[in-house]
Amino acid sequence: VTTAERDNILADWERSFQQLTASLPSVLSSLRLTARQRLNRRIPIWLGGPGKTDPLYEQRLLLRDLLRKFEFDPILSEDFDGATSGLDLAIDALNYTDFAIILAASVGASAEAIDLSRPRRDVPKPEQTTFVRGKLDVFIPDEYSNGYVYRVLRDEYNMIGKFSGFSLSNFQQFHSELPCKILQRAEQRRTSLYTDSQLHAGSPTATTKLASCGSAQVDAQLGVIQNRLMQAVSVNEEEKKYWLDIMQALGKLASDCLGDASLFKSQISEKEFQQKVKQFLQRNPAIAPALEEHPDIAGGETDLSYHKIRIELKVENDKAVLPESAVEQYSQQTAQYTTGSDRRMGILCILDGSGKDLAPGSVRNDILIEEVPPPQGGHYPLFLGVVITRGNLKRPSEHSK
Amino acid sequence: MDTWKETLRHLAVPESLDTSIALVATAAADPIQMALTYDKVNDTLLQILEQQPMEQCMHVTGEARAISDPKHRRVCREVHNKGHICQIAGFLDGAIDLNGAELMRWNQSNWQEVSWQNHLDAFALFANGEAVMFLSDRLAEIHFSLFDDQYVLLQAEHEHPKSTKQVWFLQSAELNQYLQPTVEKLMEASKPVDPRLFSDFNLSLSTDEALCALYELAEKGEIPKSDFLPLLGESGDRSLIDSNLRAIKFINSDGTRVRITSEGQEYLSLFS
Repeated sequence: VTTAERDNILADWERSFQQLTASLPSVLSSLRLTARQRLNRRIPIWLGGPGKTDPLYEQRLLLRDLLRKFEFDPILSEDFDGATSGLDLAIDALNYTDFAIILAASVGASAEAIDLSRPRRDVPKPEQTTFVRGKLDVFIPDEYSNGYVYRVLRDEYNMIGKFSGFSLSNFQQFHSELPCKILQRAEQRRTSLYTDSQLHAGSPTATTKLASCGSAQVDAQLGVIQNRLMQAVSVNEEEKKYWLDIMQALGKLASDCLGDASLFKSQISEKEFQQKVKQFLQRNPAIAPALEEHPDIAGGETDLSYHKIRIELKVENDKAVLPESAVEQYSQQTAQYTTGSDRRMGILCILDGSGKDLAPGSVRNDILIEEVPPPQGGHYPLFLGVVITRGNLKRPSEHSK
Repeated sequence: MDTWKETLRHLAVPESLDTSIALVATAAADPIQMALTYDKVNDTLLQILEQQPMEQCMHVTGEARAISDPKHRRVCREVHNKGHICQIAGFLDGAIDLNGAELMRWNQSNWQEVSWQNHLDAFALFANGEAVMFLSDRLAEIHFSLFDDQYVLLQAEHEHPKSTKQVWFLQSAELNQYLQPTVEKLMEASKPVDPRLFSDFNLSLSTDEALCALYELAEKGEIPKSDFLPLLGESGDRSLIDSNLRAIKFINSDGTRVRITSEGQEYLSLFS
């Protein structure tokens, strides 16, 4: 399939789904839209099915592209690494996704569908497959309805719903029937996730995944940090959410600086850095209203704060900033401001304005979370976010010898 | 014989274990005292979970009321986030069909003071595999919970489904270990409930048909029964959706007319 053909197929699938939606009462579209907008995140979906050597693999890739167009985040087993077998891979991936789709349209995918659907009767553990059943939707060709796999999935495992069947011959010809069914189901799951999210007390929660900030590296690192944060159960959920918002914004700033050497081209003072960061954050409509400058706390002066989360801004022009040494050098000061603000979480943002002969590394290395244990003992540590912004960079062409 | 001794006797706990037991908190059969004790339990577990995973979180209950408590669901979710899973054994009258609507009705009748939000979130806990429910048609004589290989939450014998009873939150690795085989035996004799049963129920409430029907009812206040079912589509699923909407009490009917309840209105208002 050529690129132009792919584009045409995708456009056709998208059009078909929109026609289908248009025939529904307008109130439903508006309810769905509300759910999508308010959930404010791309929903990860594991998309299992025929593998790379199967003729239907092309269709599966197109389904991935279609789901992306509708603001889902489809994940293929092949995108994952670190597992030893197909099933392990699937279960690994399913731990990170909100729901899962499998196209039981090849021998391998059918076997996987059966493995994932099988209820376990022994005492379950999270890694066992019992638990993916609640998340899993199986799609299987009508042509297989007399076959063993179909019968097992329908009669023994109760996995065949009204949406499950599709015409394989049509799908081979890139017909829109199955893509529309999958999108319908995905929309329903998204609405259900939205209502689930509303059931948890408190307005913003730290478990609601962050919307993409536009940098894949920052998103990935924030995802890791968010998982770490979930374990800090004694910290207020709202505080975590505010902290994540500001970490994401500063992470994006650090990422932008790597992409555009002119942002912090030469060495600047702490005051100038503070002004630039302030301007950058004020351009973010979600953050600007709660951004404050210079509250006087704990007898000293901090730089910026967001919902009482302290953002300590530092400039280091003399030597390269290493994440570990930055934490060692500044964490106590930030910690004091944090406790002085009656918070458990604070942020340290450092501009590395030192001269650089080498190209910088990935921004992922420059965004981290540090636990500061209570110096006098006790159970409640502080959590400091550290973002290092690399300034005074050479332009890429200046590195050529 | 006092209630404490009577409870231990029912569990056949040898007197020699008495000395190993430390009382962390206790409550008489009083809702406020019980709430404070449960709060202590949850706080203790959350503090442990902040430091380390928790391999053991098992409940032997009548009505699985622990799960109606949002804070305890948070404990379950933290246990799951750290790689383990809470197991809740409950009693379900064998005459009741095991499907989502019937389980929801069963919960509604046992947890009468609980909001629809908490009912749905409890279902979501099991739907997402964050905890697993086991059901048995045999009611355990004494209800208790085991946590982290060292804590025991013990309930005095009470008449099912009474919600107030004397409870003791105890720290004793020996008692925990002694009761472990009893729980395992009970779990083995029970049936794990398929997570799909819970997820299908919750999903049915956000189908195109359910949302449109609720919206139509909200617009009109009430409509004749004969006009309501067609709103739920033509497929065989419509009676299932109808049954689920009734079970969660989003709609009700008297004789010939169907109306949306205040709970149904609240559900819809999530989208407004």
